[in-house]
Amino acid sequence: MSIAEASLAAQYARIVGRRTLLLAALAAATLAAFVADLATGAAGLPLAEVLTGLVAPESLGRAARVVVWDIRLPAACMALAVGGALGLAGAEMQTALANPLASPFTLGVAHAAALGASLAIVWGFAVPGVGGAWTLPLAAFVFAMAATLLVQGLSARQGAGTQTVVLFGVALGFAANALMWLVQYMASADAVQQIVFWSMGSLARATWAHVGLVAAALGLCLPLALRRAWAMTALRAGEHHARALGIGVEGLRLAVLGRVSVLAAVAVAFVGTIGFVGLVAPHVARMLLGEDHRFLLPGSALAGALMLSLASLASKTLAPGTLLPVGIVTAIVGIPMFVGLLLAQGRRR
Amino acid sequence: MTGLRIASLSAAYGRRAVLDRLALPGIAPGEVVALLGANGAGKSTLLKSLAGAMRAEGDATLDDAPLLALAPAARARAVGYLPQSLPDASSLVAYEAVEGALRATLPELPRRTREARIEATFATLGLAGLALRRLDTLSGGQRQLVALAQVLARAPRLMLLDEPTSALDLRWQLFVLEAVRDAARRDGAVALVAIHDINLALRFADRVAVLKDGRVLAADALTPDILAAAYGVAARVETCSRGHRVVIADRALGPS
Repeated sequence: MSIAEASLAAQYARIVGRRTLLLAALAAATLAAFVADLATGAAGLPLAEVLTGLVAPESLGRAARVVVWDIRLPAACMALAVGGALGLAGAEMQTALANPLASPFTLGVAHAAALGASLAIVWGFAVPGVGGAWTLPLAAFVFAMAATLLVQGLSARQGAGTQTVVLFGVALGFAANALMWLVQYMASADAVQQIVFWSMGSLARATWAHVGLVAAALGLCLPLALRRAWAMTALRAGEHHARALGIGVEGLRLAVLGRVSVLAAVAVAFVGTIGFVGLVAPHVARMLLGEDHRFLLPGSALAGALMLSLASLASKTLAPGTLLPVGIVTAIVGIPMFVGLLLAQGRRR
Repeated sequence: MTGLRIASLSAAYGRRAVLDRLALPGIAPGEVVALLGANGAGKSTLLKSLAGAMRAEGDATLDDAPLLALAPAARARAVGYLPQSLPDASSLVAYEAVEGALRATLPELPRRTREARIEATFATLGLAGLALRRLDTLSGGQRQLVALAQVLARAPRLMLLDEPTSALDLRWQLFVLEAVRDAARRDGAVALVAIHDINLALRFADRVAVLKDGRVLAADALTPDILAAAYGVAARVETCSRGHRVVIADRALGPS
């Protein structure tokens, strides 16, 4: 080995190379989980038939084609898109607010979305020009965006310290929760049941149009986030240090919160409140890939997609014959996984 | 004139004025000036104002360019600011913290130049062994050195260092201040260093400036009178066996 090869740059390049490999492995695991998710379901189609049906739909019978193309594939794609959106949103938020507990739920975004959905269910209103199936997601989306704008507006008045943003968000979450209980208290038993099921989260109601919207939000936000990857990396050394590098921290934070609200709002609007992914996926990615945001941001999106794919798989297999709400399964499956990772990391140090 | 000139600088936290039309004699390229003064005298505020980390008004120029009017990106190219707070103990690798600083401030730097600068800076600060460690495995002092490496690697025209040795042991204090002085001489940069240890300041700075209540109390020699006014102590200024000036503080003075 020559001296040049042992330079710091070369040694650091090896770290970067290892991260690239890990990112690829994460992508491969996500793909595997996606395929397993596709191949699992009440209809009991064999894996080979499902895969052939993806390439050549005409090879499937009519019933099998409906199962693969209209039920399983949208749900599996939705799991990837929503998991990716929540993972990315969580990672951006944890960095921007310098808070490892931050997630779309910290800012009350998800609670507000749930409140919007509850109101839509209870009042059963229809927006003119919007199909009945879109009313509920639209209400959830509008409330989520309103919550973010409110938090941003309030914090901007206060000079937008990270703790202020978090505190406003937490307060807003409690307020939205209380209002939701009020709505449930006043609502009919039937409506309460609908609200409860909606908030548990489900991939089963996914349609191609919904998947397209979530994927579009993710496809828009990820490149925008990656353009500021170095600024976000610099921010991890602390706000003062980032500012010293000429990074407009307020502007960066505002852009992040804007992206997070779009991602979280579309995810929650179509799938319900799946909170855990946005909190944990970034931590998983950080443990594997470190804090270079060129890797952390796509890694968090992949980790989120992987977690939700596995949760979708588990929701179909844990209780045979029953489709468990994916929000419940995400927490039940994800938390032991997360604790295991934390313990493993503790041992390595 | 080239170098740093501060004709008048005012800054406030809310309604409380911290810098009051502060003026500092011109500082030539390559010169190191230590900022002394009691807690709350305005040392950190002066550095923050020049760095653009807080709003300030007045007239200050760096190499004849108005410093306060510079856009954040342009200012970050010319000015390297080390904040008083230590960098957060994140899982960032020390190398990428410095790389990130270079990419954020000098994005046009070719990769090889960037790598060479990072390498040289880590060597200068004796940090090569830590370069691939994560910040959360480093001590506070080591993280402070990484933050200093972020400044030195950029080779700015003006270095604003707020207590660069606050977390360092004796050996590293000497080592770091020597490195700063060498960098200033080599690059013809101006270094303004806020520091609490008066004797360290006398040892390494070309000049000292004593601040009190947001103004410059003295910008040349230290005398017992100035020390009494600035710090509220009875102190002597003596000459050591090697001819260096040394300040010996005897006791705190009562409220005047």
